[in-house]
Amino acid sequence: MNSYETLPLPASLEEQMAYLRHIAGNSADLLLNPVKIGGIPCALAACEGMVSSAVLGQLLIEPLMQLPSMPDSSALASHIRERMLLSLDRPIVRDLGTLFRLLHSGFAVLLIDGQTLALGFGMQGYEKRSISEPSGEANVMGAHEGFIESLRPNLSLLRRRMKTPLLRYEMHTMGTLSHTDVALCWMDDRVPPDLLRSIREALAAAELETVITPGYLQPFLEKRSSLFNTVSVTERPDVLAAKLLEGRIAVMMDGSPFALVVPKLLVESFQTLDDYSFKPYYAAFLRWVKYLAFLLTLLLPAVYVALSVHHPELLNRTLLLLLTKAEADEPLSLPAEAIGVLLMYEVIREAGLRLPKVVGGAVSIVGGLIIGDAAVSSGLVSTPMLTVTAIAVTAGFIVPDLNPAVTVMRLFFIAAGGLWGMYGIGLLGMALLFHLCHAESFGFPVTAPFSPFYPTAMRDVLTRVGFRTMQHGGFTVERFRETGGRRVS
Amino acid sequence: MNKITSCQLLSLLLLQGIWEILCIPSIPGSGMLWGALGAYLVQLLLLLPLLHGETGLFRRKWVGLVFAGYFLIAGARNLCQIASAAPDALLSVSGRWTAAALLLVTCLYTSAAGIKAAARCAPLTLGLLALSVLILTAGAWQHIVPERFYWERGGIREGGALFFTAAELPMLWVLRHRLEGSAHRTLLGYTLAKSGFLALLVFLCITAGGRLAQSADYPFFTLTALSQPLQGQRADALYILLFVMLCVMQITMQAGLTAHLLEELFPKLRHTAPAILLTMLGLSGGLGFRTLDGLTAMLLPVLAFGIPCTLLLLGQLKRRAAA
Repeated sequence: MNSYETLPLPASLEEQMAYLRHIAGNSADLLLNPVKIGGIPCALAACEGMVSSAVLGQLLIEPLMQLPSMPDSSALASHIRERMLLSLDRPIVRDLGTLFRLLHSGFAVLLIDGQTLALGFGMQGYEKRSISEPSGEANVMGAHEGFIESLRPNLSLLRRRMKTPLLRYEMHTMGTLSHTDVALCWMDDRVPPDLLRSIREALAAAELETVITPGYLQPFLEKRSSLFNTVSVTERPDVLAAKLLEGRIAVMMDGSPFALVVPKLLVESFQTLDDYSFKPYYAAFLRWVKYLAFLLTLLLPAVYVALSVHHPELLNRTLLLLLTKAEADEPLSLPAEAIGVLLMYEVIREAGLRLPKVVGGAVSIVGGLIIGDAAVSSGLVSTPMLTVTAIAVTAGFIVPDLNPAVTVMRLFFIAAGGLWGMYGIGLLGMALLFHLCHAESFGFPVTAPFSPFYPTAMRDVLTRVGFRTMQHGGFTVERFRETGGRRVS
Repeated sequence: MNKITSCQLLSLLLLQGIWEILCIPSIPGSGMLWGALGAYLVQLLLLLPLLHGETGLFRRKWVGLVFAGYFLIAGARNLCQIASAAPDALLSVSGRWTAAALLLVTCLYTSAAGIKAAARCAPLTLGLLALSVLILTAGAWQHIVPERFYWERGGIREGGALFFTAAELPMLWVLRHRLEGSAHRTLLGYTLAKSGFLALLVFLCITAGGRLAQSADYPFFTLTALSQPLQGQRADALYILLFVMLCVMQITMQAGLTAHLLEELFPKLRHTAPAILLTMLGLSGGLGFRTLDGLTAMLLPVLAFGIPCTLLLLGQLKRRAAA
C-alpha cells in the first residue's frame, strides 16, 4: 500500500489541491478546476479521458453553477448530497487513497473548502471497444456477443441473460498499484457456500502489484499445479450464464474480456454452446467426434511411430509396404521426423499468430504450402508422416481448450513410442491418467463424472438428451464433489 | 478428506483379481472353472459375516505392519509375474531390467499421487478392460467350437488354488473403513464380476484356443494372439496397452497401500514410495517368483480371514464379559 493512501483529506482547499498535485507529480492528465459554487471556494477534480465532458457539463457543472449562495461549506456539502441527484453513483471521499482510486476510475470529485470530505460523481466516459463477436469460442446458433475489456458492460451483458436477484456480484479491488476492479459472480441459490468462501480466500491471498490479464489470477484459483487447466475461461456471456446456473463461480476483471470460471471439469472441454442448439442425436455425434479427435491429436503420431518402429508385425501388409516404401529414403529416424514436423508446425503457428494479420496470412502460405511441399519433394519428410501429423494437428483444433497440454504431451508420447513402443506409450498414458485423476478444482475431481462415476450425468457427457428430459434435472456441479471423511493417503 | 466410492473399490478389487486371472499359467481343463468358482464362493461365504462386525483391525500396530509386509511381498510377486509374462505380451523393450526400470519410474509417480488417484483411475482402467474383453470376444467368436467345452475333472485342483491368489482381499480390509456405500454389495459385485470374467476366459481359451491355448504359458496372451476381430489389422496394440495399464495399477496399489499403512503407523515417515518400490524390486530379484508366491499364498488366508475373524471374536467376547 502506498504511503498516501490512508491520509485523511485536509480541510483547507489549498492544502487539498497541493496534496493532489504533489502526489500526482503534476501529471498531465490530472484536471483540477478551482471554482466558486454557492459562494464557497471549491475545486472539481477529474482525470482527463476518463470522464465524459458532455455528461460532466450537462449533469454536474451546469446544476452546480446555478446553486444559490450558501451560508457555509457544510451547508453546501449537505445540500448537494441530500437535495441533488447529480449521478447514480455518489461516493463520499474521506481519504486520498479513495480519491485517487475514484479519479482513475472515471469519477469527478468535488473538493470543498473547509470540508474534510469530498463528493464523488460517477461520470465515466472513457473509450472502449464496442461489443462484438468473440474471437474464440465461435458458434453457429448462439448469440454473437462477447465480453469486452470494460467490467461494467460485461456485468450488464450477464445480467441481461439472468434477470434474477439471485445473480450476485461482489466487487473487489486487486493490485496494489493497478487497483483493478475484479468481480465475483454467482447464483446464490446454486453455489456451494464453502466454494464461495474458498474463492474469496484464494483471491485475498493474491498480493499482486498489478492484475493485467486473468492469467495473473488463475494460479491463485488453481490449488494444485496441473498440466490441464482446472479453471475454465470464457469470453461469452451466454456460456458464462450457463456455467453459473450449474453452481459455478466466475471471476471477471476490468481490462480483460475473459471470465475465469471454477470449478472446471475435463468434460467441459468437449462441450460447446452449439451442443445445446443442435438436435440431440447430432450433438451426441459431435461429442463422440470430439472424444475421438482428442485421442487422435494426442496419440496418433506416437502410435504411428511406435507401430512402424517397434511393432511392424501389427500393421496390415498393404500399409506396411506403403510405409516401408515411403520411409526407405528418409534421412531422419521416424521419431525425429515426427518431432521435427510438429515443432516446425508450432513455429509456423506461432509466427502466424504474432505477426500482423496481413503478414500472418503470407506466413501460413509459406509454411503450409512452400515448406511442406518442398520438404516432401526433397525427401526430408515422408508423405505418410506429414499426413499423420496434419490429421493430429487438425484434430487438436476441435478441442482448443486442451491444446497447450496436448501440444507438449504429444511430443513426449512420440518420444516414448519411438524409444519403447506401445509399452512406452502405455506407461506414459498411465502416468497421464493418474495425473488427471489426481487433479482437483476446489475439491471437485476434474475427471468427474467419469471417475467418480455418476451414471445420471452420462446423459450430458456420453450423449446429449433433449431439453424435455434435461429440464427436470436441476443439475448443479455440487453433485460431483466427493464427500468428506478422512484423507486417503 | 475424501472417501472411496463403492464403484471405485469394486474396480480396484476387480483389477487386482482380473490380473491374477490373466496371469494363470495354464488351463488344464474345464474343471478349472468349477474349482475356481467353488474357491470364490468359499471366499465370499467367509468374508460376508466378517464384514458385519467391527474388527478394529488397524487399531493394533502389529496388524498394520503385517499387512504392509504382505503388500510389499505381493508387489514383489507381481513384478515377477510381469517379468515372466512380458515376452508373451509382446513388449518391445529390450531386456527385462529396462522394462522393470521404466515400470518402476512410472509407478514412482503414480504411487506418489496416492490411493485416491488410483481409486479414481480404477473405473477408467476397468472400462478399457471391458472394451478389450469385448473386442477379444468378438475376435474369438469365429474360432469357437462349443463341443470342446465339456465336463472334465482336470483342473479342479488348479482352480481351487486360485483361493490363495486373491491378493486383493487384504486390500478390502485396508480400504473398507474408507468406503462410502455397502461393503457387502461391493464384495458381492466383485465376486460375481470376477467369476464371470474367469468363466468367459476359460470358455474362450478352451473353445477358441483349443489345446494350443490350454497348454501354452499364459493362455490369455495366447488367446489375444489368436483373436483378431479385424481381417486387415491386428488388435494386439490394444492388449499391450491393457497389459501395461494393469501392470501399473498392480504395482501402484501395492506400493500405495504399503506407503499408506507405514505412514499411518509412523506419521513422521514421508515419501516412502521410492524406498518401497526399490524393496519390491530387490525382493523380486532376490527371492524369485516361487518363494514369493508361496509366501503370499501362506499369508493370504491369515490376513484376509484369520486375523479379522480372531479380532472380531475377541471383541465380542470382551463385550459379553463387560455386559
